Amino acid sequence: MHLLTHVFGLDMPARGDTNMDRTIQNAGELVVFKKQSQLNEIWRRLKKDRLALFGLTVIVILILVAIFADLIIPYSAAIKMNLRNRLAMPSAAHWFGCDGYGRDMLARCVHGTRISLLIGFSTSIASLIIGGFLGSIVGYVGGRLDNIVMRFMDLFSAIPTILLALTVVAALGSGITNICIAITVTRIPGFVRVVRSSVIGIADMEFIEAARAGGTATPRILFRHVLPNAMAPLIVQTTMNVSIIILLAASLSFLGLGVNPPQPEWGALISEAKEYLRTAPHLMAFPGILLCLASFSMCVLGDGLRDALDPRLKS
Amino acid sequence: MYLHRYIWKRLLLLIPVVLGVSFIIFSILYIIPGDPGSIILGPGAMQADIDKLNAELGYNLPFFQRYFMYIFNAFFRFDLGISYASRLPVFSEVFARLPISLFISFNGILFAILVGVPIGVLSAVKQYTLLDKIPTAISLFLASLPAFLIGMVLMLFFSLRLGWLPSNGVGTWKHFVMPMFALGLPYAAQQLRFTRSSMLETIRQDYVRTARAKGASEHNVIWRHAMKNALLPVITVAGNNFGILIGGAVVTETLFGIPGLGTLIVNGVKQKDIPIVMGGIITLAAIFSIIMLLVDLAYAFVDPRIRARYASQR
Repeated sequence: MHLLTHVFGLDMPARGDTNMDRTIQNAGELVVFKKQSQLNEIWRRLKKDRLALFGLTVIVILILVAIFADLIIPYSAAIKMNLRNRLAMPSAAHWFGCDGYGRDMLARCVHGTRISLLIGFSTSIASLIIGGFLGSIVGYVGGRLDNIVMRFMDLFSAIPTILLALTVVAALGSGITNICIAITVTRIPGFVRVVRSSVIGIADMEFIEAARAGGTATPRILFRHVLPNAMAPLIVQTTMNVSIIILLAASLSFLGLGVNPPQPEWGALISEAKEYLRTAPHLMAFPGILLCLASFSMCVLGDGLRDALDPRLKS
Repeated sequence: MYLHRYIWKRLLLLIPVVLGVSFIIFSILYIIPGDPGSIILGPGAMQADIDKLNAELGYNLPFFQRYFMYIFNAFFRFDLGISYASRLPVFSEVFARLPISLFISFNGILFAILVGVPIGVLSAVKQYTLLDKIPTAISLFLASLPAFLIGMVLMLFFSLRLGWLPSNGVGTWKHFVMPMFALGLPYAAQQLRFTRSSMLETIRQDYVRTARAKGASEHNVIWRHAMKNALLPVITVAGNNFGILIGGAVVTETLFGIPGLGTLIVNGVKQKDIPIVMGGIITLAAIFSIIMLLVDLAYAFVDPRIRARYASQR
C-alpha cells in the first residue's frame, strides 16, 4: 500500500504544495520534477484531456476503495459462506448479490479490488525498479554488457507473455506473491528497453559531460543527472503496465493459477462466476465491470500522461 | 539481389533464439522438486526401479548435460519426454493438439485483420467525423477487455440465452465462432487503432498530395497510392499479434473447453506435469519465433526499401 500511494502522488500533481513536496522527498533518488511550475504545467495539460481525467478519477476512487476496504465492509464478509444466501440476487442487504457459496459479492468485489490493484501497482513498480536499474546501467555503460543483457532480454521477449508467466507459476506454484514474481519477469524486458533508450539519448548530452568533467562519480551521474531526465517515458510505461498486469493477473486467476481460493481477485471472481453464468450472470457483471473500468482507466490515464509529460510526442 | 542472403541470415538466427528460449524455460522449470522416476512409477514402486528409470531418463546428469540431452532428443529424435499424467510421449500429445490451437489463433488474427484494417482505413479517411469517433471509442474500450470476459459475455448471449452457438468443445464450425470473436476482438481493436494512425500519417505525405493534384480519384488515392505504404507497418503488427494470440489462446481454449495445446499446458501446470508444460511451452515459443521470422521476411519482401538496404550491403 505504501508503494501504491507513492506512485500515486507522482500521478497527482496539484493536490496541495506541502503534500507534493513530501512526495518528491519520499521519491528520493527518483525525483521527477524539480520545479513546482513544471508540475503545474503538466497538470494543466493533463486537465485538458477529459478522458485522462476520467481515468484518473476512476483510479483514485478504486484506490480509495482498496485502501479503505476494511472500513467499507469487513474481509470476513468476503470469505464467510452462508448457503442460505446461495446465488442471491442483488438486494438491500447484499447490494451485489451473493455467490455460489452465499458469500457477499460486494465484499468480494471490494476486497478483490484491493488484491487486484495491489498486484497491478506493486508488480508494475517492481518491474520499474528492476528494469530501470538494469536498463540505466546497460544504457550508460554500453559496450559488451549492453549487448549481452539486451540479447538476453530479446530472448525473454521471444516467449509469449502469458506462457512465460505460466512457466514461472508452474515452477513456483500459485498465490499472490508468486504471480507477482511471474508477471514481473515478463514485464522487465519492456522497462529495460524504455530506460535504456532514453538513457542512451541523455548520456550524450553536454550537461552529463559537464558533470563527468567536474569529477562526479558515475553512480551519482546516473541516478541524479541521467535518470531524472529519463522519467517521463518511465512514468507512462509504469501506468500503462498497471493495466496490462491487472489483465494478466486476472487471466492467470481465470485459469485457476492465480490467487489461491478463497481470496477474492477480479479474475478469480469472474472464473467462479463462470459456473453460474446461466442462473446468476450478475456474478460475472460486477467484477467484470470493475476489471474493465480499471484497465481502461489506467490505459487512458497513461495516454494522457504521455501527452502531458511530453507535448512533443503528441501526434 | 541479396534477399536470399538475408533470408539465410535470419534462418540461422532462429537457431540461437530457439535454443535460448528453450534454455530459459528449461532453467525455470528445473527448480521444481521431485524426480520423474517416482512420479511416473507411482508411490508403490520399488526404489531400485525408480533409480533405474531416473538413470534411463538422464535425471541424474548435471544440469547442462540434461539440457543438451533434452534439446538433442527434441530436435533430432522428436522426443520431448514422457507425460507424468498420461504416461504417453509428450511429443505426440503436443503435436496432436497443436493444429487446433493454430487454427483458432489463425481464425482470430484473420478476424482481427478483416475487421480492424478496413475500419481503421475508413476512420483515418473520415477523420473527426462520426465514422472515425465511434469506431475509435469502441476500439479503445475493447482493447481494455480481457478475452475471457468477451468470451463469457458472448457465451451468455449466444449460447445460454439465444441457444445459437454451442458453448463448449469442438466439432462443427459453430464451435469456432465464439472463440474467434473472443480472441480476435481485442486485436481487431488494436489493429484498427494502428491502421488508423499509420494511414493518417501516410495521407499527409507529399506523394499523396501529388496523386491528388494530378487528378487521381479519391478512391484511387486512398486504396492504391496511400494503402500500399500505410499497410507496411500493419503487417508487422498483425504478425506480432498472431504470435501473441497463440499465447492468448490458452485462456480462450480453457473457457470454451477446446482440447488445444493451451488446455494441455494449463492442465499440465495444475498437475505438475513438467514434461508436458516444458514441451508445450517450448513448442509454442518456437512457433512464435518462426512466425516473427516469417513476418520479417514478408516485410522485406513487400518493402522495396528494405530490399534495397540488403541489396546494397554485402
